[in-house]
Amino acid sequence: MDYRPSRPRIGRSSLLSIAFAILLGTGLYLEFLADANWNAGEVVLAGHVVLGLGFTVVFASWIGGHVRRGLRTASRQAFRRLSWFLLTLYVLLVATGLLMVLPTTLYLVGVLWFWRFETTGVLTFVHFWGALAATLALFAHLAMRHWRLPMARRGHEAS
Amino acid sequence: MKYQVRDHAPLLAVSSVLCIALLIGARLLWPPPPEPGVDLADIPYYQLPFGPDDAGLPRPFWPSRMQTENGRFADPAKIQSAADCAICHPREFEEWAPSLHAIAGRDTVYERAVEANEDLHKDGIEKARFCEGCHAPGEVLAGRTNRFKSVMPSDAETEGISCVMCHTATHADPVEGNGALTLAINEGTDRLSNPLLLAAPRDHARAFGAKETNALIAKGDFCGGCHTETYDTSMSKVEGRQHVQTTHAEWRDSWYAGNGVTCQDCHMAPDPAAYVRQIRSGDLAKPERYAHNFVGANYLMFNTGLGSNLTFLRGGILPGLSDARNTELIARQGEATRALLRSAAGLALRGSEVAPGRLRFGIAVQNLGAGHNLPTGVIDQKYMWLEVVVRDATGAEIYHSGAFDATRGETDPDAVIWREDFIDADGERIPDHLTFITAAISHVRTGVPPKGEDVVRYDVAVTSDATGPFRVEARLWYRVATQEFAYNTLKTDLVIPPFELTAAEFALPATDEARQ
Repeated sequence: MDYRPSRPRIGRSSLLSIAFAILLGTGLYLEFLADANWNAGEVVLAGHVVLGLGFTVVFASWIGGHVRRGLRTASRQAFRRLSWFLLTLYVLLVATGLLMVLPTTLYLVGVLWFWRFETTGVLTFVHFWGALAATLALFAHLAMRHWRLPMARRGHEAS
Repeated sequence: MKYQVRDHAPLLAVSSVLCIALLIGARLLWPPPPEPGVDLADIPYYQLPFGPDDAGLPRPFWPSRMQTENGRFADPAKIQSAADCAICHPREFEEWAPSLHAIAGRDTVYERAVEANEDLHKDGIEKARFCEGCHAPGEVLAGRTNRFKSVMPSDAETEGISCVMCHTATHADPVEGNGALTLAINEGTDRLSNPLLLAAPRDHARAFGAKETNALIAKGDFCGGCHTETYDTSMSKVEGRQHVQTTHAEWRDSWYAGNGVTCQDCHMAPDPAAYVRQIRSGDLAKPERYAHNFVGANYLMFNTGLGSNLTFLRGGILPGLSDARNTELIARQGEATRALLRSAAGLALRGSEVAPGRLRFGIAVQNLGAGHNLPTGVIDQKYMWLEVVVRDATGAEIYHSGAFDATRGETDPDAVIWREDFIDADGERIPDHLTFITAAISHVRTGVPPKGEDVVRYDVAVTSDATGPFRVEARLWYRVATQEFAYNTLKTDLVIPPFELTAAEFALPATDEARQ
């Protein structure tokens, strides 16, 4: 059984994969290397924020259909669980990212407000570890079978 | 293999490579900034009259012990102004703005004292680094305390002990004192623009909230970096080293330090007087938050009744404040200052005796609420004295000591007084804080230690027509400057008003009958 959209390959899911890889790379850079040179780090941070916002828009427009089509046809419980877990991680990533740029957004519209520093620490922690977990879950999601093997083959594999 | 893997794996791989290329490109296009700060060699005509240290290295900030973390001068344009901090931290700014820390480097009393000292010696301006290290660290660290002004001024340099002067500290030596603080002021700058800083405040925390800095500035030892002061030949004529200010040591050896009550607990409590009362009641709980008012004992700089004289004394208005807001904040802090002063001291009768023709009694001046001596600091200008009036049964005054002449601004020369005297090389008292010619320090009476008392004994002659019971009125006064200083140095006829710390009335003999 193969689930495959009839639309062209370079669709929103492909864009999301590209964006996710770049966001992960820039995020790791911000976490571990930006301190040494914020001249470059500021550019990377700005890129990370802009790309993250773009990712959020595309993801929001795409995920509904993907869940409806994909999860409805998925017959394997482990896959469904993993998918929901991945979706939760993505929502967490997007939400913490948006919360972190909320003060910036408000600042740009003339309102000064920011999180307590301790809160930003929690948001960063969740965003960072959520991204790493999402990376692993995404690979598993892409590679994992979502259809159940026919009974005969299952029996064959079991023997 | 699932088609999803076949489709997405190359995209992810290519994107990862692309990302790494972008990151490398960013680092190449935007290289790290050069080491922050300014090299000694880049400050034209900078004078080093005190020679190198024991290791042969230059001492650019000597006789102040202030240092920068990387040993370089601060770039005045890069020192973060408190007005900039106020953009995101308005509450802290408005707490700090009326404080003495904010005007430490600009108030006229201080400025005139420094100028008077500078004129006493050919290296006077360089010697004044001793004063400016604590009062205007930005000026010293930027290299402006120099006879040739070759460094441009900036707002931040006029802000005295501003936000960055504490929030970049990495080391303090409370025993050494004389500004023995190390500031990472050159590294203490935001590298991100404000909007992105709000998205990633970690770099802001690196600059102004490093873990070791936060731990250091919460300790009393940090305050000791400046609130310990000694004179030696670098800035005076004192041979060896002589303590002029021992506030930190007074606290360190006190009940307060022993019980974990720090300088910050009282002077940064939102309501310092209430906190002192809380401590006096035995409740050692920490304040709910630490405010940046640094409420102290100088009531004069918060006396809004002085009108334009107050603006003159405070050296104008800080950047980032309007005149009206400034006055409002000063008035509020004035109330807190006066309340704190009133919470510090007490008076008690000790050992009274009514003998034929004589009244003998002691007045105990008690330090009930200050975690250091009373008075403390450099007390050649600030001083405390006891006024005692004895009246007979008719209310007639039969004895008066410690009167204050409000017209001439003079304290009774025979008053019991707590003050230290600066003595010149000829053994004469210097009344107007001329540090650079001070050869010795002596105390008229040393301050009353924390939770201690100093009993002053009186022996009053009673004329035969005076009848008891007698009443003793005692008042403890505090004044922040001598009138000689106002005349000689400030060149003003403004009478420096005293402040009544506490007052009490006692009956003699100390019996129930006499009290009725």
